[in-house]
Amino acid sequence: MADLTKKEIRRRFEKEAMIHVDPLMRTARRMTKNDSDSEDLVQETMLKAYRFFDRFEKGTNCKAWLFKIMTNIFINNYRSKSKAPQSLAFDEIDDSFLFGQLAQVKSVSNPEVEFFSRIFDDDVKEAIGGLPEDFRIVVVLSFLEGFSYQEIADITDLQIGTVKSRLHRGRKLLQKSLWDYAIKNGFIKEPLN
Amino acid sequence: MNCRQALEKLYDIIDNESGDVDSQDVEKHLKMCRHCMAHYEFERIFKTFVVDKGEDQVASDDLKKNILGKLDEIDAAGEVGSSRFPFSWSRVTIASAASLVVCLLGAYFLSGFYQFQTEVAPFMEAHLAVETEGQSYQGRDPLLYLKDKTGIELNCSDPKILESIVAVSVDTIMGIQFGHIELICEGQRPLSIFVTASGDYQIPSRQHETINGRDYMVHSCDKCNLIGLTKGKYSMVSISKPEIAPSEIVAMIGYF
Repeated sequence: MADLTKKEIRRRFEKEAMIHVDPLMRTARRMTKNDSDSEDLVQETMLKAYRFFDRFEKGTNCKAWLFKIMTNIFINNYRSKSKAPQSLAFDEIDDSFLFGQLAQVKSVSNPEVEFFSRIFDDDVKEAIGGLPEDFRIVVVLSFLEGFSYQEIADITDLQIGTVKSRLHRGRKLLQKSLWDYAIKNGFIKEPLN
Repeated sequence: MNCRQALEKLYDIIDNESGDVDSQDVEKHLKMCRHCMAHYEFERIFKTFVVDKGEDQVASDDLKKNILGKLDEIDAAGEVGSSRFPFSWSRVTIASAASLVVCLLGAYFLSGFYQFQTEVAPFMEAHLAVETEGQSYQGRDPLLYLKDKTGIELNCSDPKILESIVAVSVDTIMGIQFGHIELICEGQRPLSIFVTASGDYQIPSRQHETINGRDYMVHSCDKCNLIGLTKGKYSMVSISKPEIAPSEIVAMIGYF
């Protein structure tokens, strides 16, 4: 590694790392919820990665390595400074929350189709953005980037069990938030219990 | 397999994380149970739905151009020290910009130093005072040096860690001699790991927590008993439980 010339490092960086700018940007947008912050975050990530690229082990997962750098910068520098402890009523949401709720809807003939066809891109992005940061990071890395539980654990420095439980809770919160949205906008009528 | 057991494995299957045996068991159950099959289908569609809707437009070409431009600057900065510029107005502009950068960097480091002195140093003094600091060794085989000097052999086969070692020394903390290994892992902050005579080490995992309204990073470690908190950009882990057998103590301190 150490004997790589600067030109070679630059060539390899452009070939192996620059191709991940699009996915980094996608995740940065969901993490920061802000276009200009997300561009700064991606740029900072790429420059830091470049400075350390001679230490990057050839043949290993470059995408995961870049995401690890970005997640670290985000956690240290970008996440909201005054994070109030969040009390989340997870117990109110059971495991099959959305599936169970939609099954009880009688007001339309096919509530699942109704649900999926009336919710748009921005609604989903807003719901993802509304997740608490700890859950949001894990959900975005899994859903949008398709990283495995182990890769997410490596990227976020969390235990794999913590990754699984955050992903599980994040999924439930996302379902709850989209369900509330559907009720609020009246295209699904809340079933009477 | 019953419905509850199938439900427990449901998300592993949807996320492609289940082993072959589990998948076969769940599939068998799904074939027999319409309710679970409907649930599985729903969760699968829900995930695809979120993935499709959550996608975004790609990064702008401007951003990519900007990044490439900054890479040029980094490349160029590496050469500035070795070349002498002839005098010209553009050089003067560069020089003034450079002095501004130096001033800003100075201010940045001063504020960092202040924060370190007021917030970090007292904590370190209480828990992680290095009594004897060994001379740092930087060379081709730092681990051999460590072994020769102390007999400590690092139990580590992770090539990423071994390759990222930049220096080794021997320090004494709370009367215990440690091998002190400095790492720069994967573009992260520099880390120091203290390894005891048994050669055990572990990099603790980190998790955010809010304590008294302030954001902290709490370190946890199952192989070693330690407490540690990170505040701002500093990270520290202390060995503050003297009842732990020295062979089990592994501590880490790291900061930017």
